[in-house]
Amino acid sequence: MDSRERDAKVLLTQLEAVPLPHVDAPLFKAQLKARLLAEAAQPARPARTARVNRPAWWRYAFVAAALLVVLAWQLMPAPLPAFAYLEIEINPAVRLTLNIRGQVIGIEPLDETARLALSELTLHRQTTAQVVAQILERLHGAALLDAASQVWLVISPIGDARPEEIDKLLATAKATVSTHAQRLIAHSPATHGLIVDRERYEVARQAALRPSHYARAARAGVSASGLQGIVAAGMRLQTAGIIPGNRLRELMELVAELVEAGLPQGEALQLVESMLVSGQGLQSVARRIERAVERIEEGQDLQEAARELREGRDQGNDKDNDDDDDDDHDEGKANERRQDKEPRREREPDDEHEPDGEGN
Amino acid sequence: MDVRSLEQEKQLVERAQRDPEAFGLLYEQNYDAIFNYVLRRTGHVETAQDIVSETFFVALRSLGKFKWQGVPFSAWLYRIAINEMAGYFRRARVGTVSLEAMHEEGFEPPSDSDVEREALAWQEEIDRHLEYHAVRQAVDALPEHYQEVVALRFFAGKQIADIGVVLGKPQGTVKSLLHRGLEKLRQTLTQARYRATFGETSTYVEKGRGAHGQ
Repeated sequence: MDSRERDAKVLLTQLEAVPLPHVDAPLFKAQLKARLLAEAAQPARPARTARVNRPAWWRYAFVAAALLVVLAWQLMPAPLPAFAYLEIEINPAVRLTLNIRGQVIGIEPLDETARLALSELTLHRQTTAQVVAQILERLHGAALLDAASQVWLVISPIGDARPEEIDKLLATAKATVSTHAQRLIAHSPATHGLIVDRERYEVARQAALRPSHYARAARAGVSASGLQGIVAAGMRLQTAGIIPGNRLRELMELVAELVEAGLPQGEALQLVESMLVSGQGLQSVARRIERAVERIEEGQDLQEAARELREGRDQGNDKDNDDDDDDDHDEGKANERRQDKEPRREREPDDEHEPDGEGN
Repeated sequence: MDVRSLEQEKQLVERAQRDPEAFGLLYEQNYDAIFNYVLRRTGHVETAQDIVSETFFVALRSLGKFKWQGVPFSAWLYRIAINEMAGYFRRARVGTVSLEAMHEEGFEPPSDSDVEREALAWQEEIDRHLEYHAVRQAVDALPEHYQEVVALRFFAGKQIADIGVVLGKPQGTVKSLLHRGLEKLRQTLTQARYRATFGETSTYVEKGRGAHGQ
């Protein structure tokens, strides 16, 4: 290798080590996208035709018309790009795509009830508050909104949304739910708000999880990969016939309960999965975890409690743990227990944000 | 990009030829790379904004004529951006780049004051990258046929094969252009460093002949 080649190699290394600027100009990006989409939405321009002799007045008329068009164009707001998803789950669930002004630019019913209940509403281009109000009225009319209803609002930013803008959207949606529900049923239903980063939202969406299914796990700090892990474990357990189908919510909650108690998410999932694989039913595992968490709250060492659960030593302490181990298919009872747990969380302060502030 | 991603991109491009919304997805996928490449080539945020705007508008208007040739869509965008930059630099060389002239050419600087403030803030950030500015000026001083090869290699992080696809040149040609371009760049940078150390009046002397050129 001669000295020139050696110098070239040195230069290569030096150049690769030069820190390059990286600009992320979200406002310009959004503005350019809006202009591009506005242009794209225009009909194709007709090809030029041969020159035609027209009377002089025609030119003035043409200029006046062009000026009017330009004026009208400038006054017309450019279409804004998608800014955030707002998923509303009451009993039916619906997903709205919002632009930065909080206008609805996309609506997707997430279940058959939503499809039927909301089919005749024209929600496009209306504000979040108007849309949420209409949805509540329609659900009330269809007897799907009452004092016992719980409302879940999940916001997931799409682009480079600022945290304060997302907070504002969520606050608007919550305030609208409260005001309109008060007017319709003289009661403000329990409203859970959650901001979820795109990654977690996509994981939940792909696994067809509703906000109520994964909100607790998300609030407990379970990451996107953690959610994926739970979904994968759920699939494994269902395929092996260990748990019945549609029980991902329970699985999520069990893992979340342990994570909330302080166990790392991987360890929590592994523990729940191993308890289920060892042949215990979902409800039995749920009760054992609930008792373990109570013991931890009373002062038992976390790792010791986890060890007891893993080795089944906690079962000796609980007299009634085998009473109805085989009734896991009784979803009614399981759901009642879950519902019983909700008010405990309701009393918590306004816990609408993920603990790590992700998603903003 | 693997075959599957290429196939997905092909479908997206075909959709974008009929559906304007799909062009938004192509924009989202490519904006960051194109914007930062143009920015690193120009070193100026507002200029980069103008060129990138024009690049995407040209792409949008020409999308109907675009024919898929089995290479990433981004290669086409890079090519448009390079043409737009060449036009920009040509105008800069003859000293006719004024805002009015750019308006006439179809450039439309973003007027929104927030966007302007954002650009100014980023410009301050970029101006702090002194080492990068020295490299950029040296790249600008290279003969034209070396500039894009070297810039795509270092400002866009492209490999030789990808540069070949963007510029429509065989890999061997790219390799030799890069080799010779680097040699020129080394000389330019050494000269610049020499000037910075010994003053503007000193003459550059190639390595081996003595630091002061005697």
